[in-house]
Amino acid sequence: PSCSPVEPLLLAELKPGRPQQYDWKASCETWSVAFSPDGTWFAWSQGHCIVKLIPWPLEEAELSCKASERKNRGIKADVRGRGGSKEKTLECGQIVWGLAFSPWPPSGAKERDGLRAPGQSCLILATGLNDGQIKVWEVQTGHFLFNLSGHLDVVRDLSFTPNGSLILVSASRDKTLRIWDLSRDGASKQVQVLSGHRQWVYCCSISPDCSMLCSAAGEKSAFLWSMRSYTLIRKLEGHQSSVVSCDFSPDSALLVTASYDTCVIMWDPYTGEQLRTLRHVLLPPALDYGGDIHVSSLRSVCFSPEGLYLATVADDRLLRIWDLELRTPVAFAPMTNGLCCVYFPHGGFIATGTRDGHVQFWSAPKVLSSLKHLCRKALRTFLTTYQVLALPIPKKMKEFLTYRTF
Amino acid sequence: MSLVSGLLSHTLGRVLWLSGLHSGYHAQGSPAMEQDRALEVYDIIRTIRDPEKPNTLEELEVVTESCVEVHEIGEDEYLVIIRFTPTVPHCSLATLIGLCLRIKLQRCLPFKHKLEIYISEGAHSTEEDINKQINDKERVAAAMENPNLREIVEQCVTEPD
Repeated sequence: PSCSPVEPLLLAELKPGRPQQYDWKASCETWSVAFSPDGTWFAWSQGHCIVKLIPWPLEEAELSCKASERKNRGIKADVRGRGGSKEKTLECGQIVWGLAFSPWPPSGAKERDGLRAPGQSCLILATGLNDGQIKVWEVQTGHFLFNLSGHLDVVRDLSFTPNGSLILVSASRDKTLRIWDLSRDGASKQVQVLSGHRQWVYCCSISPDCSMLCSAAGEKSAFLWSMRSYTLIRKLEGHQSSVVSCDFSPDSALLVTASYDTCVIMWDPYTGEQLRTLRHVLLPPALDYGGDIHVSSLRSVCFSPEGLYLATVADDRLLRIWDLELRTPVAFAPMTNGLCCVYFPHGGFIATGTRDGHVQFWSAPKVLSSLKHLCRKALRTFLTTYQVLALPIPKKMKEFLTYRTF
Repeated sequence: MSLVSGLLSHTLGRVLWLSGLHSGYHAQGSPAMEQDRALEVYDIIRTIRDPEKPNTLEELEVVTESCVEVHEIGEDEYLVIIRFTPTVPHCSLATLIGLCLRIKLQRCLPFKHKLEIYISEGAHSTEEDINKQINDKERVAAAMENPNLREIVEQCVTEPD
């Protein structure tokens, strides 16, 4: 179904309330942004070692009173980082690279680490730091809970299993990924070290069904690991340069990887096949000389929660939204120095972080999934590609279910 | 509101001091020592050749003595800031020069250092983007993996025998 491209509207921008002399000094970047799985908190690594935890939605008053102006003129609402009573500031002491939320089970049975009274579920935030430590914080209070040590270099990315089992995966510049079990008591929560990468690991992503882990590193292949046996399933070869970002679709049936080679590749994680390549150059690739190496390198890729759109951030100063059925973007928004992007878990908008420590919120095309797609999503949540292929159904339906056709 | 911002800047100051940034930007080491170091740095970078022309960066006035700043940020560790002026407002060449500066210093500078490279204001059309890319370690690492780029950089930084 063709829809006229809708410019993502800039809904709000958050700027760190710090003295101007610290703007643009090294370590001012927002390397990571994250929403909690239930959409009630937003974490912003605003540079200079500080993470802000902001309850969501943002101060409604600010946004709604400007709404009427915005609709016609596309003016953005500027929300400065105000000291709202529930906003929390985490001082991590060093550059924060990775962020990940997880629900923390209500401490009925376990009374440890001073968590809340029984009956109230909480959230924790894990922060990946410059020297390899991972600090875990309680979100409601902003209190520091505990440290995870083991990595020898920058912890670039973190990912919790979505099923709340408190398994954390960390990706580091020490070329390893580590699996941690936070439900374990005592000091050694590390379960496994995944080695194999030969360069810095940049990104890790766990499939929503918690069965697979994808890792992207400063090398041309992305790795796919099993979350059950913690062993390598396969290497995904196809990119021409460092792979910097990866994400699974909500039904775990698709995996996308983004690279400095200006392409996003869509894979079937069960078979390793490349399904699509989304190129981010409008002109023929520049000659290798000098590279124009910055133009169109990808920085981040993210699936929308209903699984029909992708958001990408590239160095050519554009945030793009791709409709999976088409091969070209459906919407563009200008953003300079973008580093990361993440969809709001209930859809409708995207948060992006930039190199100067700012965060922007963009409206994303809202879509009503077709019944066909909803069925496909429901089926693929528990069926692997091979299981679909083994079903006694017409070929065309198999092609649709395995995302060979849209 | 002012109380909050006062608290914020106090907190920020404390955080930055702890992370060593604060002290780095105030003269901690002796200025004479830092000046010596700056000259050392300049001596190394001035012989780098321009990617396009057969002249050195010094000859083309892409770098000058005054464009190098050195601050002591720890025991025997220095923050080196270089601001260069590319000859042409061309994206890829400015990036290449930035790469050459970084690689040459990495190889030849005898003391421990952190390097920040910036393009002089007004000298380039898209300087804001490039400024930040040049200091992005992950981008630099990826660029050096590109064999063509690496060869060009090697040609520019190698001293003629």
